[in-house]
Amino acid sequence: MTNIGKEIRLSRIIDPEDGKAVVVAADHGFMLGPIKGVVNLEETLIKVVEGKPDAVLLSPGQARRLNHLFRGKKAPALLVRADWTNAFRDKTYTLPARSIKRVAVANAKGALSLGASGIVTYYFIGHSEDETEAYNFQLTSIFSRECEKLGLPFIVEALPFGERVTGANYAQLISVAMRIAVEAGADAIKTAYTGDVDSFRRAVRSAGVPVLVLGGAKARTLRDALEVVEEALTAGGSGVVFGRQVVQADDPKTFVSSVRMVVHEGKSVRDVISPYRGPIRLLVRAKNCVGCRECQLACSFFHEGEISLKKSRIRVDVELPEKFMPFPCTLCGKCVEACPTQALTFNPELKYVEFTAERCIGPKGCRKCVDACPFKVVGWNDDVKNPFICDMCKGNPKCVEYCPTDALLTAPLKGV
Amino acid sequence: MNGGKELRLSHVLNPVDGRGVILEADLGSMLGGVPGLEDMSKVREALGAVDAFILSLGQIDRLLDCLKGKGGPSLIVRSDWTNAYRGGDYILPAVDLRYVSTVTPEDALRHGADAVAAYLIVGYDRDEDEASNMEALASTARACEEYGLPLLVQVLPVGGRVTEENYFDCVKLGVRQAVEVGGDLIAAPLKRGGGDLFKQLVELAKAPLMMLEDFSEAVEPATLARSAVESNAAGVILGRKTLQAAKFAEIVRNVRSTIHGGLTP
Amino acid sequence: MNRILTVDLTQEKFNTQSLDERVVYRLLGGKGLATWILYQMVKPDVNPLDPENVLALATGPLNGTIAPCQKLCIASKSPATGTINDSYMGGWIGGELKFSGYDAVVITGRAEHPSMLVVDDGNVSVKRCERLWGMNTSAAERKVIEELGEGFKVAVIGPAGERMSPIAPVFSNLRSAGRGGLGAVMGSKNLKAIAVRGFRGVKVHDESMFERMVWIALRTLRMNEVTVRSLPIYGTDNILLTINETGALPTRNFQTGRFEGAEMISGESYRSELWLKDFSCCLGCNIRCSKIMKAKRGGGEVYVDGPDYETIFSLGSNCGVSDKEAIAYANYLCDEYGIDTISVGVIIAFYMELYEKGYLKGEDLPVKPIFGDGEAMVKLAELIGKGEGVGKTLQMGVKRLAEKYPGSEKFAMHVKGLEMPGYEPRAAQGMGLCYAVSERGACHLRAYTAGVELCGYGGGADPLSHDRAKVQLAIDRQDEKAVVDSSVLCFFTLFGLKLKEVYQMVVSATGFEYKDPDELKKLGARIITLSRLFNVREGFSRKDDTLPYRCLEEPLPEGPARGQVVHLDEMLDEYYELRGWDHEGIPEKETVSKIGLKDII
Repeated sequence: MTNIGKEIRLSRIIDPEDGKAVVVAADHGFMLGPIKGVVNLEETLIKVVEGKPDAVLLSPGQARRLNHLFRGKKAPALLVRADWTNAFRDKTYTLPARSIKRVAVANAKGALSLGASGIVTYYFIGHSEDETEAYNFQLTSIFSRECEKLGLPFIVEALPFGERVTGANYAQLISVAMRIAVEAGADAIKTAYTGDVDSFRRAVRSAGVPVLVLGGAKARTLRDALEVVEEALTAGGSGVVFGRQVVQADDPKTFVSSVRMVVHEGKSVRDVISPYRGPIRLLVRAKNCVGCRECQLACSFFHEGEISLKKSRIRVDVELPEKFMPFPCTLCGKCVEACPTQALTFNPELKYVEFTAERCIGPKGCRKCVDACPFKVVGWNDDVKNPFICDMCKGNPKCVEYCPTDALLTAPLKGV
Repeated sequence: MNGGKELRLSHVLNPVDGRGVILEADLGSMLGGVPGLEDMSKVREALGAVDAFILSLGQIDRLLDCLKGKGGPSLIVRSDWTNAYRGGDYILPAVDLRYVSTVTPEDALRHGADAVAAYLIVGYDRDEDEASNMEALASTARACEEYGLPLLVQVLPVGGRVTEENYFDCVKLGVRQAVEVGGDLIAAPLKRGGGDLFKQLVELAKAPLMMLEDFSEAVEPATLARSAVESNAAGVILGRKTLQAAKFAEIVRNVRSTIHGGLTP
Repeated sequence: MNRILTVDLTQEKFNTQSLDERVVYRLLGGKGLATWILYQMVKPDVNPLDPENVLALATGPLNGTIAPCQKLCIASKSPATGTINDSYMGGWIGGELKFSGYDAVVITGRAEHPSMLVVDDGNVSVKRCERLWGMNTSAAERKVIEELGEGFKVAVIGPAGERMSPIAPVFSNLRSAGRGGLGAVMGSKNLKAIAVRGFRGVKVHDESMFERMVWIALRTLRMNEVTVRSLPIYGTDNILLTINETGALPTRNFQTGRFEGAEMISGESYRSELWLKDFSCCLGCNIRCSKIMKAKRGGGEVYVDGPDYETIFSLGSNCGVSDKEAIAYANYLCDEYGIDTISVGVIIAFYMELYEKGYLKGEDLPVKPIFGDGEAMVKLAELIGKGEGVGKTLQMGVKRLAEKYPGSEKFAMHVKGLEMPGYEPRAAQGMGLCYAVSERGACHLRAYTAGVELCGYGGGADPLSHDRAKVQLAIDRQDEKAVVDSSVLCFFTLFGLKLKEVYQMVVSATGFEYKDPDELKKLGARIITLSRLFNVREGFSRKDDTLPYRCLEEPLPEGPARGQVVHLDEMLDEYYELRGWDHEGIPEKETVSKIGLKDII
């Protein structure tokens, strides 16, 4: 016997066509104060709504003030945060929390009077005091009963949080927290990604209700944010709740639209982020280089199957205290010119330098390409007496992918 | 009006033009399985054209799939019962005009309601019946406020004391009472040729006022729709008359395009 | 993952050995490996500065790969404490060791002349280097690379290590294995430098799985506040204002936990005034906590990697000094002469309190060691670095210094002879336990509970609680750190990664069939117990797991922890019980076998 009210309202949050949801949480002001992005919440939310999320989560006060942003059938559904916690106020915020507290601030009826299609509350597990968890569970049960009576979807944000959470038990605690919340009556769960597909899949299966994954703290790149979403979906997740990453983004509308493409349209992350597939060149932003040499390590790993600074196709100069400089291939073509046997040519389609081993006379002592390179980027593989030649990873350079500071970038190769 | 009411009302009345097209499909509770409502499948033909259905509790399950997701019809739940529709030609004609409240807004919510519909009958023979209707309506209205549910009050001038001469005044009375008791969306019937009078009603009401089909005398749905637009009404509520028509789907689509122009839901 | 280079400096003999697979499986590498080697090879009667002491350089399965933030473990018996001492150094030499085909180097004996050990892609030699002896660290490192060639990565000691000062670190690429006097051990072996170059590649067990797991690990580091906004921008000093606010910033030799000059030496103020560049000084690091700063001094300018938080506490607030350039310059001097900034600062602060309390009456003082005098602090750091004048005695550390001044041991801030780092234990009870039970003396990088207690990471914990839950927190942190120290990755990765990500990388790199992250945590606990066994054999027990009188008996005068002392005894009881050690802190026989040590030691 289903609860019809819950079913109808949940379908306004989770699209019945594909069973997935893109939700934006904007209740940070409540927990953290006026952080960036929520200072002028209305302004931010107008942009967010343009990206067409399925639902938006607000605190009761803001739900009342910003109610007008939810008009019309196609507007996002309104979710109301029904409890408050200091758990997220770590040392970077004013008055950091010293022990985790959580209290109810609204009930199902109040949320409905604000126009809510669902309420969201926290369920934390991992406190050192069992009493706190007992209280947590009781509060959750009370919410659950009210929501049952009124046909309001009850979404629980289940998270490991507290002194007893360790690196070893974290992923498992996510699973436990979710399941307990479901047993208490949650219709859907919002939780952190366990970090990998297998453990998340197990957790989702054990929950048995739609699970929305948290977008997490601000990702440095859209790629990271979308990859987490993609993985969570692969593991059986039903969608994602992004908070700070959206409200603090320079372009919230595009962010939300990008997420929709991955969640509702099944597009791959790479297609959403960098659809360009033509010839590329490598750009260097030397002032960003920090000398980590990950580009060299990644290059050798992906080309040679083993890691060595001496087997890479990109060079990094570190001259303390200030001069850090990566030297990638610039496509100058001097090595191509110098090669006497056309073992080096430009790939006709993608324009990178292509090496054909059969034509190389390195084993006979030739090293003309190494000498010709004006930036000393062409290394020498002494095992097989061949040069190390950069092939731009055929369009998806690993050095760029692994650079942590955008010291290496790609750009379309024009005018060739 | 509070946030919840405004938000939910915007699912019934399109915020762009302030109008809506509602299909009253709950008549089965008052009249049984009348033509058009035998198995509720005909109701589905109105999908994409109407903004909301009025349904009785028991039928929501059968149409659940239409009500899910965004963009589909909103659910208005019938909160009361009357024998006012049982005219002389009905199998069991009403002897005494009766009204009772049957579903609380809380029940309606549990069943997924976006709004609640209730009747305000004008012209009861007995004063205690009018009082009773008002009491029930008030109770529903108060609960609707608590839950943020918009209340649709359908004014029916069908009591014994309604005459040709006092008809318009009765409707005026009913509309005003509906607003005073706490209705958010009011509906009243249109008499043939009574477009100007309806316009006055709209101005007086100061709340969105829709045209009710089934107690509108001999007015075709298409005419009703045009009159609604001309008199600045908030739209129309189509009922049994349209449901019984052969070209039901076509009629509803035409009504929609008159009311909303090319606007999508 | 099992090629050990043994070097006998006395006989100039080199050997390559492999260890029993069981040992490697149970102890992983890095800290685990080094602890085992020292346990097997260093007997209790060996003086740390004797030729019989062993210096072990151990890498772990994630070194020389694409894993983030790689370090090298260097370990020995400490001349400062007499305990086991494992220290973690950044730079690139750990990876280079792997590229040269070795997982670890074990050095014994003593070279006849000042020498350097050269490992050139499998060719091992010991070269005399009298010309390097006496050179400062940066000059020595540059000279070695100049002579041997590009592509070499070099670790050196400074003049302080040469004269076997117990506070001398080992340096490489501006980073150091800082504490416990490993530089002195090298000096005692007449070893000025270790130079490594390799042309081989490191292979991993399951390439595609490893790639996936490293990407996930990198991603977690990119998605964590601390490793994205705090450390990369402000470096380690990002926590100073928070530590000050929580009343845990040691000030004037731990007399109090709040420093009035904190704003002037905060991470924010250093960034805005002295910052030059961000630097990923460790191989594969995407956190780049290191900051190159510029300090003006006497008409000139010096560059220094730092100062880091610990240096800013020890030479700054702990000496009452708020002159940020003085601190940076003193850091530079310490790096050049080759002395540990934590120990130096705590020694100077102790000296300042001795002066304040009148202990130094009648002594000939080169400068008046007054709290808050930046110039005096710099001068003293220089003297300690050079080992000149009063520096000769000061360099021996506060424990030995206090022996000269009866009564002063109450405020000689050390445990087991290692000077106390930058968290006031009375304001964070967990850190009190951490310092007391750390295997190498007062070290914060063991059971590091400060992040949770004071900075509120991971949900936070009440800093004043000292119950079983707090002890369990400390144990969990200690075990996790031991795993990271055996892999060998940087401590800071744990802000983003959990043990699960480390587990995934380790399993895919090694092919070892650890069942789950918890099995790795047990591995960590195993290593802690093994290092405890080393210390027990040296004669350490509960009586040494203690804190200075100041922490145990003097209530903290101000701040949120006002009135607190460290409730150590109760925590020790719980700690030993949870670890399966007896009331004296000696691992029970049953524990030793249950924990998987009995058959491999």
